[in-house]
Amino acid sequence: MEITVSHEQGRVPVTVLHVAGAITSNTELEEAARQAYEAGARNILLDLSDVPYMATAGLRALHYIYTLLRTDSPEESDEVVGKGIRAGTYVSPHLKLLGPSARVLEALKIAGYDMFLEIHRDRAQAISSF
Amino acid sequence: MNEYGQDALRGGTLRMTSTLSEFGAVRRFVEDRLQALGASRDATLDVLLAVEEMVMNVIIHGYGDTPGPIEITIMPQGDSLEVRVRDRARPFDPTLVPAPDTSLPLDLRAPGGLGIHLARHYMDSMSYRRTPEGENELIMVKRAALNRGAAT
Repeated sequence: MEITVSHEQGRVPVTVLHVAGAITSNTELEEAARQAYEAGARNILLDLSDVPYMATAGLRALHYIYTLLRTDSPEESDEVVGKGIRAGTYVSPHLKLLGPSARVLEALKIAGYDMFLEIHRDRAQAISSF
Repeated sequence: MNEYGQDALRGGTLRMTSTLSEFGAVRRFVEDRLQALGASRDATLDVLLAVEEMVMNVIIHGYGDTPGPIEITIMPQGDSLEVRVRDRARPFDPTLVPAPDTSLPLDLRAPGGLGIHLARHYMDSMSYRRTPEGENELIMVKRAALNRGAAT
């Protein structure tokens, strides 16, 4: 698995983590996200278009990054997020996904992660959506 | 010669110790074995995911800090694949674990269970028994995984 970091400017700065290869370990991706966060990243677009395969290790990493980027603002309180996910009106404003394969999307759906992570097909649109 | 030894491969069986450092051998074994059996790429990825999830559960939750043996056998049954995972960890029947409520926010869900849920989804059946020798034995079947007429 290889992770490439790049930076884009939309309405806000967006850090793009491009992952290539199967996500079979959560630690590498979590570490890359943590380093990006410590360097100031607050919005991350995770480019999964070159990931053929993802299991619970990848899902764990997504959960970690989601939690890492969640802020203390009132719009992201436990109550608002909980209600929003149930009502299908909440998605993370800070972590979004780009281009998952059918197989990766299936794993995201089984786990219910597609309910709070926005999934994009177009990179430019994804960046401007933050 | 694979690093896990030709003997361990004979009969389609991988014998390993439940440590994370040996976990990489699972992927190589499953990929090599399924390729030799002529499994489709899709079936290979499904079986790989299920086996990795279940073996990881045995390593982390079954044995924990006291590593023990794990044996994985993959055999063709017609055009199906039968995967058997045996271990000597404490008794645990994954088929009894309910599916996680994925409509709940992450933080409110019961921990674990997701790997089993994924494995169930990717395989066609999953059955468990405690063997007379005191092992956990999990059998998972993937149907229509092999191209008929391929080498066995």
